[in-house]
Amino acid sequence: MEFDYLKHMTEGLDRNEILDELMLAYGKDVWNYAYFLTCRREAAEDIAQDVFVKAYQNLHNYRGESPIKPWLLSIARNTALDYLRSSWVRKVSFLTPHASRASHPSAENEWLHREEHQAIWDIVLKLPRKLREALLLYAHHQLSMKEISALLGVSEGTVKSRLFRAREAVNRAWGSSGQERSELS
Amino acid sequence: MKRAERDWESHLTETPLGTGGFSMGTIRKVKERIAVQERRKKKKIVPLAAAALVAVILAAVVFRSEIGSTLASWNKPEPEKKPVISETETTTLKIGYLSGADDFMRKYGSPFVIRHPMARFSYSANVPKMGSLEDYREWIENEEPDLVQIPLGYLDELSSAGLLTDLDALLLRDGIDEQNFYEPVRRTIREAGAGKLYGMADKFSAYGLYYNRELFAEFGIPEPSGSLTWEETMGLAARFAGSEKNGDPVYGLSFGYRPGLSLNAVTVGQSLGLGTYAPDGLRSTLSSKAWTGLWSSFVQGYRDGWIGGEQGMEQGKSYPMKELYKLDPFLNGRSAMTFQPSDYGSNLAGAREMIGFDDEWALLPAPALDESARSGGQAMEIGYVFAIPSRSSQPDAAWELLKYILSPEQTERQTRTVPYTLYTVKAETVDAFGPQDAYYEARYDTSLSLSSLKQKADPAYQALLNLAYKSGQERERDLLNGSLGVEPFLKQLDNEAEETLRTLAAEKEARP
Repeated sequence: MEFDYLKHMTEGLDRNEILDELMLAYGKDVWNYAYFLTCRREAAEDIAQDVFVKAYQNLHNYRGESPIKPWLLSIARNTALDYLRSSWVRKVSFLTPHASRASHPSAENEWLHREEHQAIWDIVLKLPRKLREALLLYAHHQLSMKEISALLGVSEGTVKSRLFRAREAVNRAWGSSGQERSELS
Repeated sequence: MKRAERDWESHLTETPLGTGGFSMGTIRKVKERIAVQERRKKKKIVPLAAAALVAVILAAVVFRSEIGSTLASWNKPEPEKKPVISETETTTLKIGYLSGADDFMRKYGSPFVIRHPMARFSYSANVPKMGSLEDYREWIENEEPDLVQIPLGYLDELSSAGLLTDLDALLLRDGIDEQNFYEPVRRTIREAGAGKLYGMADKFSAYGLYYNRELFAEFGIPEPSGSLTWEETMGLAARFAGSEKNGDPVYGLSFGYRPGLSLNAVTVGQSLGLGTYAPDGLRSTLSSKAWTGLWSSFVQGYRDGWIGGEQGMEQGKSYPMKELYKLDPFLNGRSAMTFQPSDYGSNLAGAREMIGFDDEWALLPAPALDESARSGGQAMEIGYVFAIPSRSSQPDAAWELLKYILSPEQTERQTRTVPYTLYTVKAETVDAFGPQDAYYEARYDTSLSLSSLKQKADPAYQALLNLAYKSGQERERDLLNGSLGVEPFLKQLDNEAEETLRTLAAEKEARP
């Protein structure tokens, strides 16, 4: 259903217009996925650019056999994994990903919610990559089990198992951090 | 309850704070990179083009006649089925939606545009919202929107006036099985449209009886099952009279953070569809046998302490949710049962997160008025339905949008952000609704649902209900200390109600 018109690319539609639509519709998804995989803003920015350049080059090859979002995410995944495999990255050990908060002053009543929100993201971004990826493809990108399975190249059972393990790990960490929070308050 | 454990998952639909993300700057950079690549390609194309031209001329000479025509037939594109919503030209649908453009786009518009990139929406600024039937009729006639939300109670009149499209024909045309829609919702809407389907709702609500399994086990009282009557519910609640836990009272039944006797007696009566006046419009029925029974059992329960009557929220004061949860005995593990609407699941999840409510709970359908009503079922609430006005200039495109609103993928999307709503279409890959499933297993009485709907839209009915609430509130102390019996109270109420009916009739008469 989605972006079916890509199937008719050769019938004179403007590739640049389609690229614009794709970037507006899926830019954030691609950028976020790259960030979730690499936990680096600069890397996510570079990967997102690469993805849309590659998508533009391959629009003629897209025949609508899979929905457009998983297609773009699969390009993002391959690009991100190439990046993670690069020798430079392997030599650098990243600190726990932390988003900058300094630029987001907020009212006090919003602050608590943001703290909780950030605490959950901190836990999720610390998960092992495979678990993190399955959880975020489901909960953030809202892909179906079938789509996640096709994207990751594993069975639906494996996806479910990774999701289960991811949730267990977050529940555990969230439970213990909640205890810490209540002890502090 | 698995869902409650995973309440943190809703945070993941957003982004981690401060991660910035894809921006217009990124889009510009992508375009610059593509432009550079295209320029490089063009430089290479000149020699390649000359070679290609030679090849084409040779091919034309060699492969003429039969081979040529076969190749031509292979290359001929298959005739494509024309899409309902153009893929090249903008289709703008005019929407009449109660909660405004932002809410529409967030819930339905944005995901639909992703699927139909050339679809756009304009919004009617004059949605009558709480308007009368006449307001809705004028609005549809004058504005000619493509998709509207209208009160279910007006469906019959608006469709009789020829203003709405019959969805049956569209379902049949597109081969859509109407069994995709939850049967009691479909049946109720069909009944409201005199047998035809002129609209459809994507969600509904109902009341339920939530109970704390651990408290039943702790006090050695067998858990309730099946469908109870109010008499049985009160009898069960009374078995908790005098119970305590850690020095605090434990109630058999409670009503959240609004514990007042009068408010809850009236709320339950309304949920059961109890009438407030006779068909002649002159006589009050607030002292009927059903109302008397209900008030009597409530007074008994509050007086004997098995209905929770602790200090609740103060009217007009605003509370953070955490403080409200603390005022609800059920959410503090001190009430065996509570009568609540279907979105109470979000309070249970919130209380788990904020005040550590961890008890195991379960759910039964709302109690029935009496034995005879038990077999009929309970009322469900469908406030508004989506409908396609017959004057829509783009009925097919509007139908595409409505099909999306009613699709399993849309339910799945919504379930992730608003999990405690009862959706008309079940999501494809939801693991389990858990205790919420009881709402789907309940029996619903179509005529009760529709008569409740009419009562809610009837100003006289509402005025008498309000009177009963206020009178009960003023005399609550006398009722509880026994200085005023239930029957004399309801007789007084009848007199006041009939006075109100006369005033309303006079006002109606005086209206031009």
